[in-house]
Amino acid sequence: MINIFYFFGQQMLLCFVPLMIVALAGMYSERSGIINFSLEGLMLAGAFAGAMFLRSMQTVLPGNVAYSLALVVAGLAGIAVMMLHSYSSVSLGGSQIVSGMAVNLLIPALTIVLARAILGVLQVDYANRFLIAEIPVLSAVPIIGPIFFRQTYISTFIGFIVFIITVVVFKKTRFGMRLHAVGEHPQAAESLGIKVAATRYRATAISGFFAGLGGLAFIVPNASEYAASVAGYGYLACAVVIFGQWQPIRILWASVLFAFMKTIANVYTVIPFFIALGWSTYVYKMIPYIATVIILIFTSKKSSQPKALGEPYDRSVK
Amino acid sequence: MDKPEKASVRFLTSESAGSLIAAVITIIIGLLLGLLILLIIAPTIALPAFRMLLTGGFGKIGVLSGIGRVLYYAVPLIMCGLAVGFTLKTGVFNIGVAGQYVMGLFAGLYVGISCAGIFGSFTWLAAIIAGAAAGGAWGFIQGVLQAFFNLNAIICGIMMNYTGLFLVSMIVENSKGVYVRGRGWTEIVPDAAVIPRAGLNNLFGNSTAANLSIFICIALCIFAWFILKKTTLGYRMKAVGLNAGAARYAGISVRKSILVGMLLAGAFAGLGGAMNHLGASGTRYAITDALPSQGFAGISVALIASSNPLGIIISGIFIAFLEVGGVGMQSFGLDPDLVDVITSVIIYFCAFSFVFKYLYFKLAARLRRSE
Repeated sequence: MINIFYFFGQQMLLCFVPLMIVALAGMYSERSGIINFSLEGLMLAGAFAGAMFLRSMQTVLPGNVAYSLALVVAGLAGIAVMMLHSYSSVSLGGSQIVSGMAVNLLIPALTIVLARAILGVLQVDYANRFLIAEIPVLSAVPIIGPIFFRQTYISTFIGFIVFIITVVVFKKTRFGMRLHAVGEHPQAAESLGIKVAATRYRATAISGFFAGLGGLAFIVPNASEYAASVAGYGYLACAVVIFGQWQPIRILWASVLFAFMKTIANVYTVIPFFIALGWSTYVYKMIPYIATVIILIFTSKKSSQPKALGEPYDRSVK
Repeated sequence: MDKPEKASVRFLTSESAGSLIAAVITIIIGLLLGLLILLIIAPTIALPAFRMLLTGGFGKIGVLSGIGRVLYYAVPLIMCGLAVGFTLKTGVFNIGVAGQYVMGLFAGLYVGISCAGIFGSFTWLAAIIAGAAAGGAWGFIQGVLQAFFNLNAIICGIMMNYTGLFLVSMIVENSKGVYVRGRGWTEIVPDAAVIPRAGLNNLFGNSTAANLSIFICIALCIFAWFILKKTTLGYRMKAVGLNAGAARYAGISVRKSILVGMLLAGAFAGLGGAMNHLGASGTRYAITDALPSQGFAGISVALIASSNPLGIIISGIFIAFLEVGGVGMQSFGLDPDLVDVITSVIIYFCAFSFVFKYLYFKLAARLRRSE
């Protein structure tokens, strides 16, 4: 029984970490007033670039050095793709949903075309040797040890670092305050000397970096190849941002909840309780999505959405 | 100054001309980028492959089989495009089209396979009506969530897409007589449920599946255009789309607009799904965890046409034409995914197509002044 509990905890982390990183990524952009519907595409871009890097470095660098660098590469790819969305949204005042959607449709197709052109096949495979069996000392801590410090990945810890950085940025730094001001009332922010466009570019660049990183952090623990899919996690992250009310700590808890439901869908076949229920696989697959709708019904009344979210900034409007 | 302008001048300075020019510019940019990618990834075959992309839709000269294939491909694209464009007019971005499509597809197949004994040679009609009803119901549920519970339309659409997809997989698995156990797909649709060819096989040959449904599509686009252009309902829907606050102030029910828009859009998408799968004989539905691509292609179809239902007929046929050309590119060892790259680039430029419109009108104004 206790082994199932630990197994479930480890599996849940594999869903939780990328979901939280990507939702936090979305939050950076949306708090500055730019809807980031392109998270799915950014994850795919990061996963593709990271997988290509891992593939070419697998004989050169030791496992977790390569993985750490690949996460940076994935983040940079995320920034590059995000700039398409940012340019349309910030500089041209285009429809943010439309350019976000365009990125989501472009990247899977483009990565398939590129993978075929470079490798001759559709999948980008790499040797998956990044699992950390056990971290000494820490893994001996009761409960926490087996879940967090055994059978784990370096990206798990990076996920928590991203969370802490995000909390500090939004609570303690001048940049976080400016980002907030730009998303709530850009005209007022501009009148105080804050550059709206520059702040939004910075916020969306951070968003692109973390979303790309989250894309690779999703595929590495779950597969040993990139196959133009992150299983809709980017879309789910969009929902987590809204459910998390654009606040880091709430996003953390929202991600925990979603990861819990996703994990049940992934591992219910080894848990006696769920086997006894005898439900269809698809019931478990539907649960996270139905639950999102139900939760949003109860929470969307008192939404703390950034006031200027989705509105192109027009300096001439007072 | 006050002399009446010529009809040609009036057209060239109209909003529609601006949209048309913007659409043509975005399409040209999309195609050029596609060509550029081809030149980079496969320089030796880039030009013949690109020619195939642009002309493959015509098929062999004199046989017209390509055109027939285009008309078959166009059916789901036009219907999904209409499902996106119709609600966009009332201010709702209908991301849930893929879910509505798959619901309609399943209902159509279910009725087509299991009710052939009841409806006889009209099974196809009953089946596509069932598809429209199922898609409409799914769209309506989404409309209720948006209108009464104030849910974000985008999130709601995504959730309804995946829920619909998995719900269909679950029902298919448990449908005796429809599902082929162990294979993960449905039975083949019986001939009575295949939509009649309406003489199109004489025109395009028996090898293509062009059928009556393309005419149904065109009729429904005209119907949608009529509602939006000539009825009070359509006027109200557009008022809500332009400014929901002002419309509410004028006594127009925003909720009703959203509900009607989503109900009809869902029915369009569902019908598209049913007509696509019942259009050709021998089709099956295989259980999948991936959303149908037609739902998202509908977004590009609607955006290229600026959501104008009559324009959607043309843009739907255009995207279908590229898809057929893309299939033809496989003979060069290239992936048809290049077509998705091109259409998504077009969508990207649609996000700010008003920039092209603005430039066009500025140019037009300068030309008029210099006259």
